[in-house]
Amino acid sequence: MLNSNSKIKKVAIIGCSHSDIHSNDHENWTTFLARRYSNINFHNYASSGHGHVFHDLVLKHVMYEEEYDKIIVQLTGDNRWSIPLPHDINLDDKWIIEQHGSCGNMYKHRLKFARYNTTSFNSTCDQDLLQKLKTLKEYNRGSLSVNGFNLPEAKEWQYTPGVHTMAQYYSKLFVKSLDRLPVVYFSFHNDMGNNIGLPGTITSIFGERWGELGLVERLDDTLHCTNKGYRDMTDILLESKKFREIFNA
Amino acid sequence: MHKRIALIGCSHSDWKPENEMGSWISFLNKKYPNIKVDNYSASGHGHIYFDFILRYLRYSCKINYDLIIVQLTHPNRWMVPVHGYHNGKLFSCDSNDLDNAFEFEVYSEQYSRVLFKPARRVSGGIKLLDQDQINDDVYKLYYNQGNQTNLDMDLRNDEALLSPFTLFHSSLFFSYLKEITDIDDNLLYFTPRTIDRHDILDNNINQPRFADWLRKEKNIKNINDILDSTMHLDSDGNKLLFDEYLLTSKLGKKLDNLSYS
Repeated sequence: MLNSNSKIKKVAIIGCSHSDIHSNDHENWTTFLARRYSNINFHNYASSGHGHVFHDLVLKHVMYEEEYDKIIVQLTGDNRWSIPLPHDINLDDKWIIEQHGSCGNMYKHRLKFARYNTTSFNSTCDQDLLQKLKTLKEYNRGSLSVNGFNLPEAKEWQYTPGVHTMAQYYSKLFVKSLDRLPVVYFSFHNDMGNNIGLPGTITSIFGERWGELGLVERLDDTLHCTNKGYRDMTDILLESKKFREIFNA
Repeated sequence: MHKRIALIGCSHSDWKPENEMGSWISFLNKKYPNIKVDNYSASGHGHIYFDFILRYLRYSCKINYDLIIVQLTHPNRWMVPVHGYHNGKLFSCDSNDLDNAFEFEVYSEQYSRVLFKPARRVSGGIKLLDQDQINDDVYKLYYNQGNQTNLDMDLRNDEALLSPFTLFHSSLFFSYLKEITDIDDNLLYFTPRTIDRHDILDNNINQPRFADWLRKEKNIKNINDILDSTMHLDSDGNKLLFDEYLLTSKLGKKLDNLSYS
């Protein structure tokens, strides 16, 4: 349920590695936002390597089992999927919740239940840009999550999705459903759209404003933002009136 | 003008005229000849598929259905996208064109099965004695002809059995259903197989859980008494389900209203 109180107190963030807090001292756009709006509690559910089927699960959780004033969704690759794995765990023992080390109003939520996640770049809507980005470093194509953490082990049987798989239809419908919900959303690499008036994805805006060199300056070898990139990304998001309204209402 | 309804479910509703399984739909067709039924049900599929189809019907489908019926199933089923074929060809179409991902298998002017074409592996989430045989039949039937990777084999062996992740998803799907059915009077759900969670009301058609109803109203102590060897309702069970459980419920009233309006 969304909190009906007029004063904003809690914001949920859903996304992938571009929003995930990897360690107690990790900083990204979500912590920069939290520092800027210290009167709001931010609850970060973003999980590296996960796709829209996981976003959808978390969205239902924050809508039906928790109370938040606003929900932000950072969209990701449309061909990702989660595969449930057996896990001997109490069904009621779902989440690890940790307060960020130096950002007291930021809480990281990790789902404990084991699952394998597939990722792929081979069907992105923005092929040219991503081909350029891919040359920076070979992309890690999968991750294994258990007890709320991504494990480093590679899986030999990595599943390679094809084009226009069921996952992409699922992603398409997920974004369509967001338009009916009190949610703001935007895209980082893969252009799945946004509802805050941005002219494109975060990386395409980087490219348009600062060119190829500026792009490299704002993205690291793993194609995630550098500290400078996250600062500029935060500013880009806050240029949107609709995005600012989340915090100023 | 015919009213038109959509049906989403698993094998308990995936009826073809030559089959006994899911034959409560044949009774529905006979009783309401002026209601057109599009059946999106798919054997072996779970709530992740139902969620997907429901979302398609609500947000993308060009057909404006007068009623959507969801038949709930086991809460521990899952599906995974794979490379695969539809009618012998590698399926690939623009994912912007969602309607093109569906194929109508028309049996009559009144009744069609609607098949979702992209390939996927389905984990049934239940152990059956002849699991391999059933998997082979189901996967061939539903175009899940991906390569025999280890992942595929893991799922064929139901590695996802009782995964807490899957159960969590189903639990949230029930919350989602309740939320939307509270505001959408044209969406009804039920199940002939009682969900094994007594904190969840498994229908919104104003009926007790089916197994409880059988005990109380029909003195049938165990639902197994009306199941066939595949663990689906037999002919008498399907007739009981439709004539006496569904028709006397909110769903029956809704179908009457659609038929006579």
